[in-house]
Amino acid sequence: MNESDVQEALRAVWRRHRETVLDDLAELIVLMRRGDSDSAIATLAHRILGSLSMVGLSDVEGTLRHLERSTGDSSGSRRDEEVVERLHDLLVRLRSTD
Amino acid sequence: MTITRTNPRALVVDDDESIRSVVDIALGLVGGFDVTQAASGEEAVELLTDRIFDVVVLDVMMPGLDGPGTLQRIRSTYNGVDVPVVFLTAKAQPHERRDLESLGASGVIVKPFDPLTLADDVRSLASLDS
Repeated sequence: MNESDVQEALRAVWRRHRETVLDDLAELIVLMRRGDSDSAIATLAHRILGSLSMVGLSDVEGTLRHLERSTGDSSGSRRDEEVVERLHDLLVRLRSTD
Repeated sequence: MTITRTNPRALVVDDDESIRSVVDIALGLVGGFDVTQAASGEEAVELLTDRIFDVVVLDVMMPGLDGPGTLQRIRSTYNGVDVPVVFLTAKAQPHERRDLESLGASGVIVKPFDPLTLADDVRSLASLDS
């Protein structure tokens, strides 16, 4: 196995699906801001988590796991502005990830 | 004539084309598996009716036949009775993993996964020789 071939193949997959992941993330931010249902938020968060295997951003996973854990949490912590801000940062970073 | 087969055969089942592509790279390019993709549980069951695989890597949340339902159907096919099935899921909470393992899967791998180590994890969970 040539590791650079693997990285190049993964980048090609990312380039093909980048816009879909960015759209999912933007939609997730909208759902959170308007306080949508837990299940809709969790489903979208799970889909984005799956996509992160293409780009390997472990700190992003932490943010989404926090979101996942807090869905169904009556404290409403999933709507914390801090989480939304972190997702926004992620969106900006992914937009610039080639 | 003796046919020697060296590459384990993996069936990758996921409705998300991007995940199937990454798993294909991780198992095929990195891990040396012969990879076949299925975009749904129904397609996976159909493939297993006339083909033999050494392991099935199965998504949990899919429209139509989901992962657990697919596992149940796989076990009713001739080629799927004993095939090791490894779930691939974004759901990582301990009770969710326990629930999946209790269905008779060989193991659970959480998304996102490391494409460079996925093949080793699948081999280990499915007890395939390196």
